[in-house]
Amino acid sequence: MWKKSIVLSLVVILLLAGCTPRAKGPEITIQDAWARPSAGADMNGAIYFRIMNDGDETDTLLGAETPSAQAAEVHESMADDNGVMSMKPRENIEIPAGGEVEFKPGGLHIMLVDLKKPLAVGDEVTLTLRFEKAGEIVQTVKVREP
Amino acid sequence: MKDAIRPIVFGGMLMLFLLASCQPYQFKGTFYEDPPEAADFELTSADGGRLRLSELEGKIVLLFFGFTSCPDVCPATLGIAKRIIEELGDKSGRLAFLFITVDPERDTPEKLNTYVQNFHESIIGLTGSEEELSSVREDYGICAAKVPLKSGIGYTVDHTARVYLIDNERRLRLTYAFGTPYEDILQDIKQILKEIDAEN
Repeated sequence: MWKKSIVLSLVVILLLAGCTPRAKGPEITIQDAWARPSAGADMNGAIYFRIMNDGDETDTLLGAETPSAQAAEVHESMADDNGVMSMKPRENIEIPAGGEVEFKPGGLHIMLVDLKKPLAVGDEVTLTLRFEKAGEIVQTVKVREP
Repeated sequence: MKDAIRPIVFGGMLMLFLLASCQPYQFKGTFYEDPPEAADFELTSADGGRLRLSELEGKIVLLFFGFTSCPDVCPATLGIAKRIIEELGDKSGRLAFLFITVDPERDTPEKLNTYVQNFHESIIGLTGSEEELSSVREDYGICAAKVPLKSGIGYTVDHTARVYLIDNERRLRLTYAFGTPYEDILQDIKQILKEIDAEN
């Protein structure tokens, strides 16, 4: 009887162990986030950071929100060969498994449209990033000089 | 033997050092081989008065075109302007930084003033009529195109984001691509100031 239960437990443990290793999915973290100080009341702002994905599955950034501005939009600045800079809204930014995507000046950024109040060095902005798989990630972003 | 080598090594090192110091300064920006005269212009400054580029002769002028609704490239460049002005310290009066709007529709002189002053009180914001501004852009080879955007800001203005350096004799000397570290521009400015001082 006693022996039987030990064997049974071992079988159960083995079966459970057999269920792992399963895919752990995307593991999203936001690092080095900062916001640029703004230059006036009805001005726009920008937030930069790195999105790391330590998981084994690609995730996609769908959008952003903040209570500090009318809107938080994913934009990208780009330069052509003649040094002409343009800016375009971007949708669905893929963060590859084991990879990272950097938001930086002159490239991808979160544009804060119509700030509700100016952003000064030391202020904090709450930013919610919405991912397809990881869901919502809320980040406190410090305002600092670049 | 060792004692005999020592002076040779020292001599060689001294020669190398002297040769290195003879090397002419290598400018960090893209330079004009034969610097052309920088086209003169007159625009409305953010305080409502008019400003001619030629009035600034004797100073080094950095020229940048942008717009105040721009969240990324323009504040990044003005941030660089601020660093340069601060680092120049008591020499900063020998430099003028001009920010010419490519978006006169939204950038009123007041808005422009608040914007540039936020970075540094000595930065001069300039606007003008559409004709005045497009003529300046043409003279400096600046592209600017209003582009409607599916965004809260309504439209953006694609524009050339180079910084132009005009020397004390109103010659177009150097240009800098977006993303040039401020240290590079600062070093070039210091070099030109040194040249000016050596001439006088």
